[in-house]
Amino acid sequence: MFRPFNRWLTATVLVCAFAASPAQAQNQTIKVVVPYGAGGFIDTLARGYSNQLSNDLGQSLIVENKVGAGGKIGEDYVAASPPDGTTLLVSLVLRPTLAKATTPAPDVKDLDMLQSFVIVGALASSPLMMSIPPSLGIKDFKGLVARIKAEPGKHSYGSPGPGTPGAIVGALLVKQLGLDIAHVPYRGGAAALPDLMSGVLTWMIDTPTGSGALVESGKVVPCLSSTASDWRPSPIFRPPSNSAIRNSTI
Amino acid sequence: MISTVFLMAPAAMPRPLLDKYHTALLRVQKDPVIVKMLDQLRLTPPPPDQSVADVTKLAAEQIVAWEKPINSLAQ
Repeated sequence: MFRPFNRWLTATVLVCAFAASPAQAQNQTIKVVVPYGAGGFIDTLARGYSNQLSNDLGQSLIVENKVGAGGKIGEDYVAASPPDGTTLLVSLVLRPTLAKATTPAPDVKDLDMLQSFVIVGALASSPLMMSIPPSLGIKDFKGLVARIKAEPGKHSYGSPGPGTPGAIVGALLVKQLGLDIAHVPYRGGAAALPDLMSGVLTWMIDTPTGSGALVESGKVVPCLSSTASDWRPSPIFRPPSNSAIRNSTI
Repeated sequence: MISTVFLMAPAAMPRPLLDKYHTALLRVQKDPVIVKMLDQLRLTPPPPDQSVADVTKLAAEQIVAWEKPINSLAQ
């Protein structure tokens, strides 16, 4: 007597379950949010991977830059999106951690990246690299420190912006070594490179993506680069023959 | 001190979808187009065939690695 009803009920439940399931995302466009501006290395990575993932999955992936608050706006947006696979994030997991350096007691509680997101996978890793202008004529990191100490208040260093890894590491060096040197935060690493090349800046800490080409052309020289746990004389590049920025340790 | 760029999704994304995207990403990481792009950007490719647990552990380790020096700046 209840069979037709049961069949209807079963069918209805299945249809509803299907409609609410992740399979719904099967043919939908996937939005890939980048919380930083277009043209930077994170944006470039997101676009390159999205193209290839689109081919692999047979779905469209569209990169959208949601910029602001050092990356927080885009990350908050994805964290609050439906978890149906149609909104993904390409970013570092370090942004809230780095933000503590500039805003130790924020008014609004920041995201816990590992609670707010699942990690689908890694796209690429990058060390940090300190570059200096050739015009300084300095031979190693110890020489750089000696020069800055001998000329207090005369030097400045650049970073891609407040709260970026380059700015944090710069602040650590200043504190640990007791340097009298000014920090000049730029809007992205590329904006600082002309001032580094011309010698306006004494150092710049950035990813090799930003300054690598200048190193290879001899317009800036590598001084140090980071490993997972340490800093070494830059192992990434063969320094130009006219430079001797090697054998330096902090 | 290194930083890694991750592909992430909202925390409650169902496991089958996570596995689907993760598996696709592992395939794409070996794509010559991606390999060439990373080389041109002077970036380090991720180790091959990292599991979701592996990359989650890596992310957690990077947060811890950066917390210590940042806390020292506040002192």
